Amino acid sequence: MYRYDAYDQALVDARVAQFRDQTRRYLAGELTEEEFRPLRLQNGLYVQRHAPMLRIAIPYGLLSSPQLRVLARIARRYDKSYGHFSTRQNLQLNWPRIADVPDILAELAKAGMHAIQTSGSCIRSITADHLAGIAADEEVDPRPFAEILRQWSSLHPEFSQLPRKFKFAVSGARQDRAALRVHDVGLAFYKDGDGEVKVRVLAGGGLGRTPALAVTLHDALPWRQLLNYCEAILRVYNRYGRRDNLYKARIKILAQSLGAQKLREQVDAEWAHLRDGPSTLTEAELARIGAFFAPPPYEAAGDESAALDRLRALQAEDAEFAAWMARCVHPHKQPGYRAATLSLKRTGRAPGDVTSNEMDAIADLAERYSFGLIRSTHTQNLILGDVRLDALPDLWRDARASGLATPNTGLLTDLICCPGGDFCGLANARSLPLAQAMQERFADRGRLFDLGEIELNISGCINSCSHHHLGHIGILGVDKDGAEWYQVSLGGAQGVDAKLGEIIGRAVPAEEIPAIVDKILAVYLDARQLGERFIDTLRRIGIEPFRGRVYGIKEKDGKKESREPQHA
Amino acid sequence: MLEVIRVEGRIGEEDWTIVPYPASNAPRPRAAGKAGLARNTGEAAAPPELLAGLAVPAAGKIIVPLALWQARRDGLQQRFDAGEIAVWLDACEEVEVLAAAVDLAAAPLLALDFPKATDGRAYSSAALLRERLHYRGPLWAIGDVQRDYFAFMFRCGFDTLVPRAGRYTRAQLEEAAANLGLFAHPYQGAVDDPLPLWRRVRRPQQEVRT
Ligand code: SF4
Repeated sequence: MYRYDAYDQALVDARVAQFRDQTRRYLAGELTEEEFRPLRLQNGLYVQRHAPMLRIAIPYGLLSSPQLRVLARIARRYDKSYGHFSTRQNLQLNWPRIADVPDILAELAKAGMHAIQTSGSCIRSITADHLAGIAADEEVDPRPFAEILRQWSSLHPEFSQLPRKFKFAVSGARQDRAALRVHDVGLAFYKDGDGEVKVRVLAGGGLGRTPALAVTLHDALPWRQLLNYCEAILRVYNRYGRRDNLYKARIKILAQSLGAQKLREQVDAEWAHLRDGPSTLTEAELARIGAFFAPPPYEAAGDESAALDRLRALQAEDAEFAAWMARCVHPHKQPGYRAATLSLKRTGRAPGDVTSNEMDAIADLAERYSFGLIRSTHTQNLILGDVRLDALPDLWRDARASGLATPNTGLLTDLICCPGGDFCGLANARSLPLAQAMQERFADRGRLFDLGEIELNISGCINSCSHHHLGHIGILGVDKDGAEWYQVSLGGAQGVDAKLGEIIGRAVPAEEIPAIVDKILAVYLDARQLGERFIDTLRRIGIEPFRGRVYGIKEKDGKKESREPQHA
Repeated sequence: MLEVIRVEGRIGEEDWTIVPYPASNAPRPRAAGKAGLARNTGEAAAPPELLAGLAVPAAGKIIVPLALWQARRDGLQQRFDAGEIAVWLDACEEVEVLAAAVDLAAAPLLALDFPKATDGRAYSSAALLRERLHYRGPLWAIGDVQRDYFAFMFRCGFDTLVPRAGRYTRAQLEEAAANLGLFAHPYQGAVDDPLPLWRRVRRPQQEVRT
């Protein structure tokens, strides 16, 4: 992974000194609340319901064992000994004191970390495919580009006060695991017919009140032009994005009001001036950054089939291990290696929450089994990216001892959930208790596995931090006369053929949600064909049968067309 | 006298007077940040009523809104030629329009307004004036110019920063000026140095793992 040189270190150190001074002036009354706000936000510091919240950047979801131990120590010392992994692959502390934040940032800086631009109206910390560099279906490793973008966007003076937040996501694989199409800019790296790296540039995606899928701005951008072209997009957005209305300030609204064609023309016109300018990337700089992401020293694979046979024998003996192998182990580029999810979704625990002791345990596991590297995912889990096939049983035993081997990746209880009304000042509803109720309801392994892959996303309000629009089942907290109600949507999907879910009907009180989910699942179980996943059945039969069962509407011969057909 | 900060943190004074719009409730949709739409609709940056209420000092060096210059150019040309009139640009106004309305080579200075510190449009305007329109004269930042943004402003091509009168004590300004060099090696290129860090210095290579 990337390691700071003296320049990176000087920059984060200076940032700590700057924020220490700003915090001092704020506490001394020299800076008003309003003046301090954008400054603290761009250092990841929110002031929310019970206490401030500090969001620490995990750039493109990569961190090392020593870094994770630092996070564990910080959470112990300044917080309540736990942290929360968010859907932006970052780590949030829910209980720091404002006066302590400069010290926390200083400890982070010593470990090559920061909280720069994890919030505020600026280019946010960049997210990436959590299997970047190791996925079997990857064409181009996007991590060097993500690091190049991190540096370019950090403290960018011209784009330091944008109309609104601006989120980048990157991927270089055939499958999209980074939700590119719901980001302000999604960058898909690939190799063209001649083996040249090109970038498909998507822009104008986003969730929230007006969810939108990104449009393609450039289909085959030469990689050397990456920064020039991004600069052009940001300049057009900075100049012409709306600033009068918080809800209309994202680039998706500019894309909608101008139309994709016009936006493309404006960006192209700007790019024409910037093209081949000083920010044009070079082979040498890409190679320099790329060297940080060179594959770890893998051992020769040996006979993979023999190792697989041994694993199969163990799986036959131990159903628990078999379940973990089936859910938590993922294919790898390198023969003889696999990636393994450490689930942060065990029943009774808020999704994405991890204690300091667990962080230490995970750091140890990573050192023992995976070259000391950890990846965070936008589904709020952690991944050890480079585990030897024959080490999987030992990893499983150790992970299980720490409660990190819940075999539910991709299943209903691997649900994505924001902190909601228990922590977040914007929430309409307490999403966490609902998440817990769902996890308890589907704790039965047989039932959970039988239901198969289902993505359930719960957001506490329309800000959609949990991407409920993209959930196969999406649940959104809404405010109704001060009471907590929820709205259910169906048919959302991430990936290359991303789709926004459709609301199935009127909102219902929180306590009715579990029964509604039961009904939705019952429709699936009745209708599914052999081997069909929930989302496939939903796409085949449409949303009406679900709507009918949930709201007791007669399924007019089962033929009533949905407003928007859900066929993929 | 305006107290200003110049590049390298020199604190100085200027005998120009900024002529603001009168405080008014007249709706100015363009100012709200719809320049992109306004370009298509042709909506004026400042409605005539607003300009009508504007008192222009009859003598001395003054900085007037671009819209006023456009509306009353004939009456002001002589003072412009004498170097007594300069123009300031609203955040919602485009530098391309400014360049068409004002002889940039003859302008004594240009000023760009920050309606609030979190409205970053003037950063792009400044960069474009310097890089695209090759404006070389004095470029002022006016409006909600806060000390925590001084360095960003200089990076984008401003050379004179005018905080709101009375916002800072002299000591505070000196402290802010002394901190300007805090970020000695920014990552990305900007107007002050168009080269990104990796072209400016030799950055170390990762040691190859064996
Ligand atoms: S979705 Fe709403 S309630 Fe949940 S974390 Fe985001 S802003 Fe807060």
